[in-house]
Amino acid sequence: MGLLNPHLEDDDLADVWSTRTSQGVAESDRPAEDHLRTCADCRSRYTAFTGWLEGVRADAHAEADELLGRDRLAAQQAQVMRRLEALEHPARVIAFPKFAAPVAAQPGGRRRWIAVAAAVGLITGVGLGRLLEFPTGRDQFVARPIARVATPVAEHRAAVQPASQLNDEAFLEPEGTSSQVRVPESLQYLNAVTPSARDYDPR
Amino acid sequence: MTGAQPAGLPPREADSAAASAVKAMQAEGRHADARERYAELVARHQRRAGRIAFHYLRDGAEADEAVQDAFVKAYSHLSTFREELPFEVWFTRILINGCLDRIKSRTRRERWMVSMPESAPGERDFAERTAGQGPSPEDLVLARERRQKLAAALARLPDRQRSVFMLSHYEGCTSREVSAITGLNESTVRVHLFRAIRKLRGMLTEGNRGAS
Repeated sequence: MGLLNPHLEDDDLADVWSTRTSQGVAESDRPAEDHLRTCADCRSRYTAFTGWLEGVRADAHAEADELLGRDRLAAQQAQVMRRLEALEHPARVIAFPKFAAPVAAQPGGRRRWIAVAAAVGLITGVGLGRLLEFPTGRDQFVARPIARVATPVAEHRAAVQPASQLNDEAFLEPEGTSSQVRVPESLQYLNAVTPSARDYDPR
Repeated sequence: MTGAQPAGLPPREADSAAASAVKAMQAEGRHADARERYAELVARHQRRAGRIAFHYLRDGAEADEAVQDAFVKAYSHLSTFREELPFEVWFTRILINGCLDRIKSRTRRERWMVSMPESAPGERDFAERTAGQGPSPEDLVLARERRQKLAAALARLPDRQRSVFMLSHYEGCTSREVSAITGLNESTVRVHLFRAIRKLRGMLTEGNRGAS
């Protein structure tokens, strides 16, 4: 409604309707209401507007009522009652026969404590090991080749002796001993029954 | 509202009396009696509840579930019901919150799922559509089209405007009742109602112009 257009606009009609509806009254004290009382043209437009809204409501109710048949409501009520009854008897978890105690009552806390204790023990062990510098497998692995390297050096030193110190017997004896040593244990019997070069007499 | 009401009491008072009685029976441990009395409340409110849930969810099965959930929730929380508030208002609030939660979770679900083509809501099979005493097929088609447009327009309204419009116009609640249900103050309810009407009219008029 304005100076150029003295009639109510759609927004004014909506305002009148929403005020009447929300307050639950037939008429309110809005300025637009005064105009509606005096202007037949706007009154007919308002009637058309409310008629449109009534149509919207009727459509919405018809659609929902079509869906909500008597059978459906009865089934729904029965279902609600069943659920209410079930509320008083909550579902129980039935334990598997193997377990004496119900599944829900298993000592989950104890297992958790064991796991925590194991983890703490592991961490403490590793920490103490580092702190006290225990020899680790890695150190042993490194030490072994050094020992192996030392052995040939010692043998070499023992082997390199002045030739004057050795007589013929001494020269032959270690050889025989060493040849016996070199023979594997499984072949020692064969070695004993087989003539060696020393037993050979050309005469 | 449907269902039997105790003689001599207006519906609101009858509801409150029934709810208080159920609450007392629950406290005394008379659960079978409490359930029996609560069944009266269910019968009185389930049609209205079904209508509200359907307008929110636009799906019969989901509306059914939402109504059931609301009744079960109301029963199990009846100890928190205050007598000064009408049972209808308290229950409608539970129902609408449930519907809004379902819409939210449906939106989240739809984000990850490919939708399947489905029949229009309320569509019936051939055997039900064969000639009968009801309206003509043309009328049915026109009515369905009109309802679909209205539903689409309603769905485009913001949540608060839609709630206020549906409660005020469809269910005939006053602004005080809508205020109690939605938690908005009364003047805000009136503003939302006005805006909802203006938007709906705009959308539906545009739709009709586009169609013609």
